[in-house]
Amino acid sequence: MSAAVVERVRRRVPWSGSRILALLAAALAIGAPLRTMYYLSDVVGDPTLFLALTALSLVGATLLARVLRPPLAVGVGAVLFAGGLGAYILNLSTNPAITELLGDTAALLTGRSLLQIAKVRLWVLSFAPAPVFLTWYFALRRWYVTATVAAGTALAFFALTTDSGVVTTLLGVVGIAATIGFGTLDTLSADEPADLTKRPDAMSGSSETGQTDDDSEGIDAGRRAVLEQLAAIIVVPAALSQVPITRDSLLSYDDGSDGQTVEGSLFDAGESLSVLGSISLTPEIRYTVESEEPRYWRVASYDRYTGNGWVRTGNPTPYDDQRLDSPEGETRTLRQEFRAESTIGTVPAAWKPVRYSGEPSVSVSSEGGFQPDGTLSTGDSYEVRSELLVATPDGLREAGTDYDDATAELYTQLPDSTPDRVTERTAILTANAENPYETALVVERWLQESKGYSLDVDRPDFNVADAFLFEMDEGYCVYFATTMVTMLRTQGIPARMTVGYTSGQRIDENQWVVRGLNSHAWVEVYFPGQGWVQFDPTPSGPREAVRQQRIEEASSDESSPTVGDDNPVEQYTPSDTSTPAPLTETDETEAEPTETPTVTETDTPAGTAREPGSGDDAGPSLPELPSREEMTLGVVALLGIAAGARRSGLSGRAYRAVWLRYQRRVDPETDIERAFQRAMYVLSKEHRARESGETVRAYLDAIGADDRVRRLAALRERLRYGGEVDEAIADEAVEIADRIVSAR
Amino acid sequence: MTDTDTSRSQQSDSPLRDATRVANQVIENVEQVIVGQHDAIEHIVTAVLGRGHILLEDVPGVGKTMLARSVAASFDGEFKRIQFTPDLLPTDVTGVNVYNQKTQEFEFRPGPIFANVVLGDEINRAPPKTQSALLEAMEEQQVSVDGTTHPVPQPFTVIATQNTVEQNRAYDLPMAELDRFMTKLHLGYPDEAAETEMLGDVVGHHPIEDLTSVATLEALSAARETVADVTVEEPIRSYATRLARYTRENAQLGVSPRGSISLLRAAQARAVLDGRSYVIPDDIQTEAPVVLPHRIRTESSEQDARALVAEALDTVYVE
Repeated sequence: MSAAVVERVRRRVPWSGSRILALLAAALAIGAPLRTMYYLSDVVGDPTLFLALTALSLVGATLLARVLRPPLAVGVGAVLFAGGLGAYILNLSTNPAITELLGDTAALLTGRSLLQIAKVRLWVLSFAPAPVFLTWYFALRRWYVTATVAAGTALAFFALTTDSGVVTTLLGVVGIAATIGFGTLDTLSADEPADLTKRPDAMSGSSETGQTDDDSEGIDAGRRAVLEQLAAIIVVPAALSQVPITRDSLLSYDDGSDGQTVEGSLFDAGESLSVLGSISLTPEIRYTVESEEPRYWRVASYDRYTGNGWVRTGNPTPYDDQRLDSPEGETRTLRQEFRAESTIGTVPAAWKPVRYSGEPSVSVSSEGGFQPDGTLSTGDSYEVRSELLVATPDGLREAGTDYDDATAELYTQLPDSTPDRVTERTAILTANAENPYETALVVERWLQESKGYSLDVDRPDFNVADAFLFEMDEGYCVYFATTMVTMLRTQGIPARMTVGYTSGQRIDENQWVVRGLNSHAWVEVYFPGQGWVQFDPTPSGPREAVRQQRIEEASSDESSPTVGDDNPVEQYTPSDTSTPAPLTETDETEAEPTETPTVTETDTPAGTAREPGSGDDAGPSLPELPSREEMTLGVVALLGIAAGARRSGLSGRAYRAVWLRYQRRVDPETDIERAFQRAMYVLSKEHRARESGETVRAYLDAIGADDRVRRLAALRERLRYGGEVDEAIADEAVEIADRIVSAR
Repeated sequence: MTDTDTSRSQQSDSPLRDATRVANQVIENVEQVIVGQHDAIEHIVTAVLGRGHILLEDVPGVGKTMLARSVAASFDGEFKRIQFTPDLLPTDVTGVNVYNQKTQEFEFRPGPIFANVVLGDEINRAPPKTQSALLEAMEEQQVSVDGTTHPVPQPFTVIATQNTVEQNRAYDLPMAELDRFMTKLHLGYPDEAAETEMLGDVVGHHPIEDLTSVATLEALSAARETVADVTVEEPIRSYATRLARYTRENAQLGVSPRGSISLLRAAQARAVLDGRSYVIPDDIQTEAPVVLPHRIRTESSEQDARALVAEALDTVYVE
C-alpha cells in the first residue's frame, strides 16, 4: 500500500527517488531530537501543545520554503530561537533569571539531564520550533547540509544532556548521514540532464534485463553506497560493543537515562534513577553507624517521575555550616555518626538532617538533604544532627490538603502518558479514606498485602507503576515505592521517591552495620504543617528473608551468626530481643575486606546497583525485545548489508543464476521478453555485450549468431514492435531460450 | 465485385505484399539504368512511399538527373522537369492566368509543377522567390496564383537536384526550406566495376529510352496508404525522440519535431520495403543518415552533421 502511495506521490510531484529518500532521512534526523523532546514534555504534562507547535513549525517551513529566500529563513530561525529564549527567561521564577539560565545551560552541556530542569516543559516548547523549522525548510530547499546542521545541533545538544538514548541518537546520526548522502545524489541528479546514451527511466519496466547492471550505475550505485555507509554506522559500534573492553561503557549508555540506580546513587548521589529488571544483593559493608536509635538512613529523594525512572530537579547549593530548616511540625533531635567502610559517594542520614560536620565537604540538595561534593574514602566519618518529626496519627489526619503551589506542582507531577486506570484503581481503593493520611495508609497496606517480593523481575517496557499495578505480581522496593508515589500523586497528594539504607545489623548497643543489601527505596508523603513522613509499601517479611539468606550465604564460612537487620518500627520496641547480638563477631565482620565499590557485584535490594563494571546477572539492562527504534536501525542495517552484498556481486550473481535457469510463466508478453533477455545474457557472456547504439539485428550479425537466436529475436521483434503475441509464440520463445541456456 | 478480379489478377493477398512488390519492382526497374547506386535508389523509393520529397546533391555528372528521371519513368503518372536558372520566374514554375479572348475570362494555364513527379534540376541556381514557389507546392500540396489556390495532382513527389560546385553562383536553400525535403542524398562516384559496367551500357543506346513504367498511380497511392498504416510502437518513437534530442544537445541547431516525423515516415516506408507491418530500430538506423543531417546546423560544414548523426546512432541507447 505504501508503495502505491509513493507511486501516486511521485506521479504528482516530479521528485526524484533520491529527493524523496533525502527528505525522509531529514525527517529522521529531526525526528530523533523531536522524539526526545516529546518524551520530555510528556513526562511533565500534556504534550499536545508541543505537538501542535511542532506541526506548526513544519507547516510553516513547508509554506515558506516556496517563497522565502534562504538568508531570510535563517533570520526566521534566529527569531524563533530568540523568541523561545525570551519566553523561557520571562517565565523563569527565579531572579536573576539569566544566572539560572547560564548555570542550567552549563550543567546541561556537561551531562545533566534536561529532566532535572524545573521548567522542562517550557524549555521544550521554547526551543522546539527553531531547529524543526530550519531543518525542514532547508531540506525542502535542497540545502541538505545546512538542514543537517540544524538537526545535528539539536541532536548533539540532547546527546550531551544524555536525554537522547543511544538508540535515538544513533537514529538521528543515521538520519543525518542519510540526508547528506541522498541529498548529494539528489542535487547531482537534479543538475544533470538525462543521459541519452543510457536506458531511459521510463522504460525500466523490464528492469531485470541483462543490460541494467551496466546501465543503472551512477545514481543507483550512489544510493547503495550511502546505504552501506549507514549500515557501517550502525553495525560497527554494535560489533564493537561485543568486544569485552568497550562493552560496559556502551551498556551504561543504554537506557536513555544515566543508568544509575539506587546502589549507583548510593555511591555518588546520582540525580536520576532508572528502574531495572532482576537484581541481586551484595553483603558488602558500606557504613557503620553510631546512633541511639535505628532509622532509615536516607540518601536522596526524587521528585520527577519519567515513567521508567526518577529524576531530581534543581541544583544543589553549597552547605555553609548553617543549621538547615527543620520540619514544620514538632520534632526531636537525633545525633548520628557515620563511618564509611568503602569508597562511596553519599552521606546518608535520618530525615530530616539539619546540621553536618565532618571531613568531606557537602552540598545541600534541592530537596533539603546532604550530598557530598566528592567521594568518601574508607574510614571517613561525619556527624549529622537530624530533627525527627514527632507526629501523631491524629495530627497527620488533620493536616488537611492546604498545599502550597510549588510543592503541589513539583510533587504531584506525572507523565501525561500515565494510563487512566491507575487513577481509577487508586480512587476505588481509597474510596473510604477521608484524608491524605488514610489514603497513604490504605495504599501502603494494599501494596504490602497484594504484591509479592522478588528480586527477579522483568523490567516493564513502559510505565513501571502501571505495569506493577496491573500486570506484575511481585517486585522489589523500587517497584513498590514507585507505584505508591504514582498512586498517591493521581489523588493529588504530594509524594516522592526516596532511597537510602535500612538501619542495618545491630552489633552493639548503639552501633549498626549497613551493608549494600540494606539499600532500600521507600516513599515520603508531604503533610502541610508537619513535613515529610515516610511510608514503606514494601512487605517487610519476605524482604527480610531474602536479605537474611544472602547474608548467610556470604558469611557461611565465617560461622558468624549475623543478625538480620530490621526496619526501625520493629526495632523500636523489641530491639534487644530480636538481636541477641553476638557482639564478639563484630570486629571480624567489620574487618571483612571491603573492596572498592566499582568492582563489586553489588546489587542491592533497593534497586539494583547496576554499577558500571558489575558483570554479573544483575539484570538485563539490554532490553529484551527490540524497541521500534532498534527495529528501524536493524532495517537500515539490513538494507545496507544487502546493498553491500549487491555491490560485491554476491546477491547479483545468485539472483542471476536463478533468473537465468528458471523462468516462471506469467503472460505471453512478459515470457517472450524475458526469454529474449535470457538468451541475450548468454550471448553477452559468450561473445560481448550489445553496445548502446547497436540494434539487435546488427548485434546478431556482428557476433554471427545462429538461426535459433535469430528466430527468437524475430519473435521478440514482432511482439515488441508489431504488438503481435500469442501463447504459441511465447511457448516457442521460452523453449528456444531454455535450449540456449542449457547448451551454454 | 470487379475489384476481386483485378486484385486476383495481380496475385495479391494483402496490401502489404502489394506495396512491397511495387517498391521492389520500381527499384529493379531503375537499376536497369543506374548502376552501382542500389542504396540511393532504395532511399528514393522509400521517400516516395513515405510521401516525402527528395533532394539529390553532388558534383555534376554522377547521374543525379538520370536517377530522378528513371524513378519518374517507373510510374505511369505525369512527369515534368523544370530546369532552374537564375532568370527563372515563379510563374514559370506554377503557371499563369491567361486572358481568353473567346470566353473573355482569365484562364489558368498550369505550370510544370502540375505533375505527379516533378524533377527540379539545379534548384539552387534559381533565386529564392522562384525556389519558394516550388517549396510551397511541396509543403502545401497546392499552388497559389493571383490569390487562387490550385491543388497539385496526387500522388505528388518532387525530386530536386543541386550542385555542390560553383557555390558562388548559387542560392543555397535556407534551413527552413531544406527541412521540407524528407531525404537528402549524396550519390558519390560509382565504384570502379560499376562505373566500367555503366560505361559499357550507355555508350551506344542509352537504356533510359527503353524504360517503361512498372507501377500505376493507383498502386503507388495504395502503397502509400499501406505505409501510413505501418505500426510504430512506443519504443521506436522514444528512440527517435532520443536521437533528435541528442542532435539538439550537440549542435547549434538540432533536428526539429518535423524532422522526427519525417524520420518515422521514412522508417515506415523502409519497413514496407522489407515486407514488415511494423517499424524496428534497424529501420530508423537505415533512414536516419539521409533524413536527419540536412536538418542540423553545426558550427562548420555539413560533413559534420553527417558525422554527428553517425555518432548519435552509435551512442544513443537503442532497445
